Amino acid sequence: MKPAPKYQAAMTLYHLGNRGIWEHRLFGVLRQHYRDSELSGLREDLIGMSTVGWLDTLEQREHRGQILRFYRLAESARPLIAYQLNLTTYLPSDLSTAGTLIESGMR
Amino acid sequence: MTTNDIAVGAELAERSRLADGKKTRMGMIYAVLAAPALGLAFGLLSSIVTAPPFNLEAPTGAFALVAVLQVPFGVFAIGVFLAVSGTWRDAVRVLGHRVSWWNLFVAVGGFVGDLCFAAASGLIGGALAGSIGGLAGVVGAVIGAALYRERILRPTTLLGLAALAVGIWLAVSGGSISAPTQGVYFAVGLLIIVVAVLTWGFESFAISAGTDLMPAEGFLWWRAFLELLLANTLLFLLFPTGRHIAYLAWSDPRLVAIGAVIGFGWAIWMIMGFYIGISYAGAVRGGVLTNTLAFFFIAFFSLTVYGAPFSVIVIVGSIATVIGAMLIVTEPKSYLARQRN
Repeated sequence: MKPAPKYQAAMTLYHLGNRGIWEHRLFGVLRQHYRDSELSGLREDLIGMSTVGWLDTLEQREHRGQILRFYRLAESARPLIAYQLNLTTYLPSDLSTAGTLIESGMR
Repeated sequence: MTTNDIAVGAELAERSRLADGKKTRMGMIYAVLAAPALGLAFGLLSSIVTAPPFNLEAPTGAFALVAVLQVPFGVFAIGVFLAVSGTWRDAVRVLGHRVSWWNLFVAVGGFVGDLCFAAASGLIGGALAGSIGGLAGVVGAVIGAALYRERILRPTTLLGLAALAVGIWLAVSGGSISAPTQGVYFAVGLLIIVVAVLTWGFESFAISAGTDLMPAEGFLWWRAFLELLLANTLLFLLFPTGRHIAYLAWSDPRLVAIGAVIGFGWAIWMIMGFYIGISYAGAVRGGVLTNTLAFFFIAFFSLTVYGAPFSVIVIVGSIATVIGAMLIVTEPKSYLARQRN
């Protein structure tokens, strides 16, 4: 059974560790396992997790009027994710397209 | 990074902050709009809890009303919502993680609160139970603010708390005259509604904490479905009269229809107020608004359309509690965005 997309997103950020990821890249990574319609709430979920301080927003850029954010799992939230989520359910994903902070991700 | 880049970054951060404030506002609006649905549902519940067959035995009748009419229809409505919104997969996908036990925790809290409300409204009347029940939102906000270190203490908060105290005092003094029972039973009824306020308050906080990590729709399903399982298991195992009351209720088409109104009204409030409202605006703002206003409508509808003895004092008391809650949670958009970050 696949984990809920929100859990898979949290676990992907956990596996990325300090590297972090642009939210549209994360969307791309999750598309390896989920249909687009299942990911429609992803942006909202990420904003929710950053509101409570579990995600650090390292950079923001504008793309066609939309704000895109570069997220990294906050160090303080790592133990929480590891304890609350069953990390063995993480669906292995190709993270080579995750990108880095320096490379802006959309140019 | 050039100065220009930094300026652009700062502008985007500001826009992002304002967008978050706007989202909180949206959540608050949903929380407000959901309120009459619960007023309709629980006002009706409190008006029939003292009628046959639910008056055969107390508090078994109230328990049966919650377990076999309110919750089954509510679960059905939430099931339809999940199917239509396409989020039913999330209901299964949240299982198998430690955090999913939070569902059971919240369901028990909600179930105890619902049961206490039904039992109390048989003793002190729906109008009074409603106007006191609204405090659940404030309890949730205080727990949420304490645990999330969200500052809610401003001069207007103290004013709001004072208005709440006056409102409750007015409602109790006015409601005691026309309550269904007097003396010791009335006091027990007040005690039970206080227990409801505390458990609901905790539930309101627990929902906001849970939706931080759990998909809101899947969480909503288990909150209602586990209440259905728990309530019916306990009712049928422990209350022999409850089985008889359940049989009588389901053999009367009128009562089944009333049950559908109660269950659907409750589900609409759960979806709009608790889930959209709380997950967008947080326990402090969404929770206070949806609870306080919903319970104001319970009191208001009970005294008017549901025919409880009319009391101006209870209405004035309820309005004072609503004003109190508004003073606690209403603030300028920019201030709100800063608080939530």
